[in-house]
Amino acid sequence: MLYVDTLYVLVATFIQTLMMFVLMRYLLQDGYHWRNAIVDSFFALMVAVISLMIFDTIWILILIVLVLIGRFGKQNINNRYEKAITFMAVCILQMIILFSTTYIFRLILFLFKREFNLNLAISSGHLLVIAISVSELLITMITVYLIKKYNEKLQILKGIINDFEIKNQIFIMILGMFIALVTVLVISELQRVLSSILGVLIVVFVLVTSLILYQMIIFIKSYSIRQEAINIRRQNVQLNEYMTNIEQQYTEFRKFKHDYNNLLLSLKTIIESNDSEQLKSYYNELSQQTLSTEHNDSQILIAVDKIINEPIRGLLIQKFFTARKMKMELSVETPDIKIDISNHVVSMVRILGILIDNAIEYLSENLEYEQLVKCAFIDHQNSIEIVIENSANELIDLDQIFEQGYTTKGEEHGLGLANVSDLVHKISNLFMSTQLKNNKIQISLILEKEK
Amino acid sequence: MFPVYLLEDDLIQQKLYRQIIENTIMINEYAMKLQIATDNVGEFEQQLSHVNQGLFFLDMEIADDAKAGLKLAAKIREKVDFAQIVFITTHDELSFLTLQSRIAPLDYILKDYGPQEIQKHLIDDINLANQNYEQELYHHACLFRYNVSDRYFSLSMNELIMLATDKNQPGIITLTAANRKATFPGNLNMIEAEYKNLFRCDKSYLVNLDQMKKFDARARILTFNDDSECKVSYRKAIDLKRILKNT
Repeated sequence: MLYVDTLYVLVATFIQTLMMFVLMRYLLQDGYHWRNAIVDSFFALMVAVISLMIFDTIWILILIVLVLIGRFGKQNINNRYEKAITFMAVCILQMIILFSTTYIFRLILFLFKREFNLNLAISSGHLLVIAISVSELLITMITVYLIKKYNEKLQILKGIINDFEIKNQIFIMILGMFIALVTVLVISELQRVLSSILGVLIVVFVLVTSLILYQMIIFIKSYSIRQEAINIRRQNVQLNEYMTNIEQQYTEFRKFKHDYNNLLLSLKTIIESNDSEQLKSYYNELSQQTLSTEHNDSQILIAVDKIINEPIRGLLIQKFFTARKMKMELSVETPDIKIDISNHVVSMVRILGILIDNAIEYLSENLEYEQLVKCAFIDHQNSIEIVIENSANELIDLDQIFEQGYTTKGEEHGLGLANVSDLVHKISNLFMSTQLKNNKIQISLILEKEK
Repeated sequence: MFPVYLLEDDLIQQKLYRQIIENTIMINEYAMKLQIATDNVGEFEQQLSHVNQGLFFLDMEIADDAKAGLKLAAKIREKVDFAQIVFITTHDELSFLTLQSRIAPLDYILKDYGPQEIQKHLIDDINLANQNYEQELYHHACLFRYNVSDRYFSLSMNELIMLATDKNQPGIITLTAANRKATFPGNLNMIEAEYKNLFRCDKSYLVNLDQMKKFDARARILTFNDDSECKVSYRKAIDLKRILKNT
């Protein structure tokens, strides 16, 4: 693609590939370690050597390998396309950097030497390679900095993509862009297309890409608005059901109060008549009469009100109704003061959702246990603790349940808990303790408060 | 003498509980004594100044303060090293999980149960407290403690299997125990210094050899009772062989 010496091409491709790997690691949040650098350098060198022979087709090859790994490797369903999508995005970015640098370099040469000549670029091949390397390094560093700075937003975006299940659409969209770009490159290479025309093609490509990106953002935005509206409607229906329920309870309560007054009245007559036998039997009768406080619905609304973050509140109410449908109870305890988990709301909603779902699913398969999921938000001085507890067999293997692919029944189950582990690991001030005791499984999430 | 304390503001119930407690101690000839039975939080607190152990029966609601028992329990936890706390309360006042996390009580006795159940619970709790007390006497400090900021956890040392760090996440320790799995911030070197009974078999593993099932000396792999495995570094394998020979 560049008409310079083989060695120069090798070096440029090497640096380009290496930077791609670095960016990918940061985007996938693997964390970076010097060992990774060695592994990456090795692979980058391999890619560079192979690309000397098959030119830009190499990128398609890498993509196929990544998709295959996603399909058949030990990946969980949610992350199947993550690597491939990240790779394509990074690849497109790198190509654009490469071409912009080449053209800017030529432009500078032109300004200096006052003539636009291809051969000039060739004769200054080493300069070009240095320019490419420097700009690659620079832009990669800037991108890494941006990724770190906007990490939270990136996670939110990932969350949205996951939640709305639009991964496939995004995969296809990026794949289209990617193939278009590689086709342009490969064909121009085979046909030795003049670099000026190639330049035009690339400019067109960049324009189209930004347009597609713009469209994609609008798409995601409108999609999430629609989804939110659906959620709110569902919540409203549930809340209505709920109000009816509370009304019923209130009626029951009034009935009890009425009865109670009657009881007191008759008690008074018995006491006045001094009949201790009758008093005893009456007491027994009385102690049978209790107001059913077992299904105290209003509890959850009052409790949930203490949580500032709307998404978590919504989640709890939604899960409360899911549990209700399965003939279970979800109880929520909150402290007297307001609880605020704003910093990691998206991840926390996902973690809590998975944990509560799992508890509900487990109980629905094990009807011999008490059908109750308990959830508590506890405010410590320097941390917030969230506990989820349900009855469970003491013989469950804790090591296994958080491993990928483990399942008591149904595929989603095991994957969910493995995801929780991943999500918890990604938040540096979040810790998880899981405990089996007295036939109960208790999962404790502790979030250190940020000062 | 292991002291027992009772806080209950309904005097009739207080008298009943006092009788049950005193009878249970007498019948079983436990080395326990009911130190005080009162309805007054102030009086109760005065007693606490020189105490470092005890079994506490607390009514949650005292006079008009629905959380008096809870506040007192928090103070007891702070001041008394070895405190076993039992709440006697009605159902509505309780947030079980929150209490467990904050106070870690021995038990809750629900007044809704009726007198017979309450009596049974009281007796069971005294027995259990006595058991714990005797165990504490024998195996003092056989607990492994860890914390995430100000949330403290502890577990019996004979449940602990291993502590590990992951090189990708420095400063975070993964704890594996029978029936427990946890992550918490920490540093293996410091834990190794504090708990001499644990064996550092590799740079990133600290293990409890009491939980060891077998050691494959050739492959240098340790297997534990729960079938988890860990690699032993070359240098430590020599130490380990020496330790195993001596025991």
